[in-house]
Amino acid sequence: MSEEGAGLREGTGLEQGAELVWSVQELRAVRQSGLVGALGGGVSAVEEESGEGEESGERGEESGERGEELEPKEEESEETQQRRRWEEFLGRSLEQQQRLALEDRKCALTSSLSGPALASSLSSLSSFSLPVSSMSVQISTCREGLALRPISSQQTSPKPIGERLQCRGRSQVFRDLRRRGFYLTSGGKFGVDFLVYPGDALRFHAHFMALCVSLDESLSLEDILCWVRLSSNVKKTLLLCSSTPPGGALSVSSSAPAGGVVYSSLQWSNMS
Amino acid sequence: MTESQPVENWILLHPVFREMKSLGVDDSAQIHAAFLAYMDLTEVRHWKEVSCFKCSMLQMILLEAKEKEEETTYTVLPLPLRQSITHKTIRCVLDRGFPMLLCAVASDSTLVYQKISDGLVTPEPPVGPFQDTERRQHRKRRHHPQ
Repeated sequence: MSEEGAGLREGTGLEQGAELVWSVQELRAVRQSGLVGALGGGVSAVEEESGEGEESGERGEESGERGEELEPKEEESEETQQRRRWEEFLGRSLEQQQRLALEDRKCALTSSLSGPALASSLSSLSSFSLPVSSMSVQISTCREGLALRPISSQQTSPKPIGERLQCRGRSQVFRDLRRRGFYLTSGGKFGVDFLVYPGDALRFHAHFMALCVSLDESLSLEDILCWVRLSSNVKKTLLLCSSTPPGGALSVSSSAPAGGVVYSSLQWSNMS
Repeated sequence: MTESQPVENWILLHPVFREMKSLGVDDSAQIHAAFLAYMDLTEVRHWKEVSCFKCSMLQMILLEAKEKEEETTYTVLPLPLRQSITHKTIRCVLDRGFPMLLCAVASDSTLVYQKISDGLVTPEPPVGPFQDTERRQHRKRRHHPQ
């Protein structure tokens, strides 16, 4: 990765083979460079509670309440205190999510309806409530006190992570598709390498399921049938992606640039 | 007058099969797959201008055919289902300039066709009409401890 890679590399570290994004600013920078996807985990949110009390009057009251409760109750065990703090956190999170869900619903109605229908729909939102079962819950994936490796802004290895994972050409495919303006996320849930979106992954469905293979890699026909059938069912095209060797003499295809990437689209033929 | 006995080895006697055999491809399973694909395209689907030839680079028999008279020519690569294929092989067929049909032939003579094209081909969009269903507000996500 060139310019995009530099932006990604600064401020992210590597922990057990996975990119580590440490702060919201870094996450925003990563998203702006086109790398999107679900976060695999997060640091415990207990440290963030101290900042929430300053954001709103309600929270100010809560922080006041918390201030009164901060005096340790001798009869409460530490486990009970942690559980109570966790439940309070869930309660605040539910209120915030309810506010955001209501705003989101209003925006959706405003953009799709107009006139009396819009007014009627908006008025029905007065009774809107987000059920607890629909609330997003993040469970911390590391415990307090875990000694994490310091984040280094300089990469120790000259090779991109795709090469280190022995996925030859995978990073090259990623670079090429990004250069073409696509957004990519992990394709793990479909058993492929990438899902390729025409725009922001939060606003579009993926068009392609990208499978990175070397030109000489043997592929089972049965596996290909499975992939193509799956891609057809989810309205996507299976994309075979192979990097071509540098140097023009051994270019496999007259249309494939040497040192570039060739793509072949596989689709269900509907010939039953 | 008695009815003639059905010829069990009718495939071996078929002129197209004999033509395929004469092309000098050593893989008999691939020749058989090519013949079944030929019969399917001509007798079942009634495709036009179906012909067979040998690809010297791949040492395989390929078919050329059109679904209708004035439509696009397809290059058909018939392969037994148990065989493997490489992306290089696919690129070699696509280099002929026509879209490709990969025909996988199962042991029970079932044929499955897949369309392969050069480059990035956007899939067909979902068919409407669409309803404005109430979106799921949030999904409960659980991150498993590492």
